[in-house]
Amino acid sequence: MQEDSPRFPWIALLIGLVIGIAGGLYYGWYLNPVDWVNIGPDKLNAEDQQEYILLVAEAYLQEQEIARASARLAALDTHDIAELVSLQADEALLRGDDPNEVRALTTLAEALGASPMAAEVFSGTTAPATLDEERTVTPTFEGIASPTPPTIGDTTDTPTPTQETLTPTPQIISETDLSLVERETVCEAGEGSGQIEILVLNRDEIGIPAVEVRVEWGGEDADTFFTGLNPGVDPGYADFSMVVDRVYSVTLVGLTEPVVGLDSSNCTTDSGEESIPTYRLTFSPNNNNDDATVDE
Amino acid sequence: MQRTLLVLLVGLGLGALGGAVFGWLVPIQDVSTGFYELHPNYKADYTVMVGAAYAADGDWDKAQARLGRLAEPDPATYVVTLAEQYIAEGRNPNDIRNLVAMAVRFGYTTPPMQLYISPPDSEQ
Repeated sequence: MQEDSPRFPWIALLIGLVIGIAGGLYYGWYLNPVDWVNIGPDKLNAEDQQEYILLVAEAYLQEQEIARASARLAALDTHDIAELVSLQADEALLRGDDPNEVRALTTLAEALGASPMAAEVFSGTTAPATLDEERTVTPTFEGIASPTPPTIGDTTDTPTPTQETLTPTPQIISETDLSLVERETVCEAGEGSGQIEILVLNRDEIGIPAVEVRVEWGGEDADTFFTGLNPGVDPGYADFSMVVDRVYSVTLVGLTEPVVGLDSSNCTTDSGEESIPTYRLTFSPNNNNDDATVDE
Repeated sequence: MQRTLLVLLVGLGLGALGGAVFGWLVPIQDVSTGFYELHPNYKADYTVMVGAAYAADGDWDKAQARLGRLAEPDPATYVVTLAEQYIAEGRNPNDIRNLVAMAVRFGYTTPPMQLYISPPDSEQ
């Protein structure tokens, strides 16, 4: 008679484990998935994280405490906070978001040491606002700003207001600061014809993005858009496709008088083809209007 | 046979436990969520930031929309309670002022807030 083998039933254990793990995973993933409560900002969805960053930036405008803003952003658990804020500022600029929001994000990004593209328009132009102030867009012609941003490492337990590091921009666009310096009419067939091409430059002839452009035609119809949506051409560039036989006008909203009489009636190219003309309008700060050249 | 069955059951139990724990720790669904699931401390700080932004831009509709994201049953009561808590704890006076400004805008004024209510002509 042979004695029962004392061998351990490994196969049974393995089968049990496999079935158990499968069942446990199904329970943990589908039947009773983890329910997040009392989370930190790092667990927010992408949209709410962007809203959180915007809120930190807006609060920073009012509080002017970079240490506090940094601590709040650190809760997002992202390694490069400055770049994240900078990216969001640029995205907001290119989307044409509320200029106050773009300015808040830009100011915070700069304070964190980043150099967002949006800084070309909104750099260091802000001071803590009050309810009584009229909030206006304050683009500048100064390019990247002058403020020396405090870094996170510079902060102490009792952060000092950093307002003094933000140098108010000396030049603010007003209605008379920009003017049409060049108007060129081109009659060419093919792709690119029938456009109104707008270029807004600063004193150094660098394109200014996020300038609101309004095109009107037919008395009632209008379209509004911003420069900088095609940065591959120029940050200060924008264009608009015309339809034949209309008369258009172009205004840099709040910055210039309308440029009128942009007639899209067919013209004849050098090769004898019919085409819609293209208008190239260049705007620049109004040093002296006498030197403006307008080609009709 | 009994021993084999016992081992099978033990394996099942251990596997189920391990699988469930792993499933909770490594979820396959998107675990990101909204402001309403924030820890109370973060909710409070979020509200303080809403107050600061409101003090800066004066946009009450925007402030209300932001407070609404917290999904508190009664945002007004939440702000009032938070303001009183901050006053009691002696927190940053600017934060308290901003919270009180929102509470007042909601139409609530309590005795502890009186010290932090700005006169209408100097409201920031």
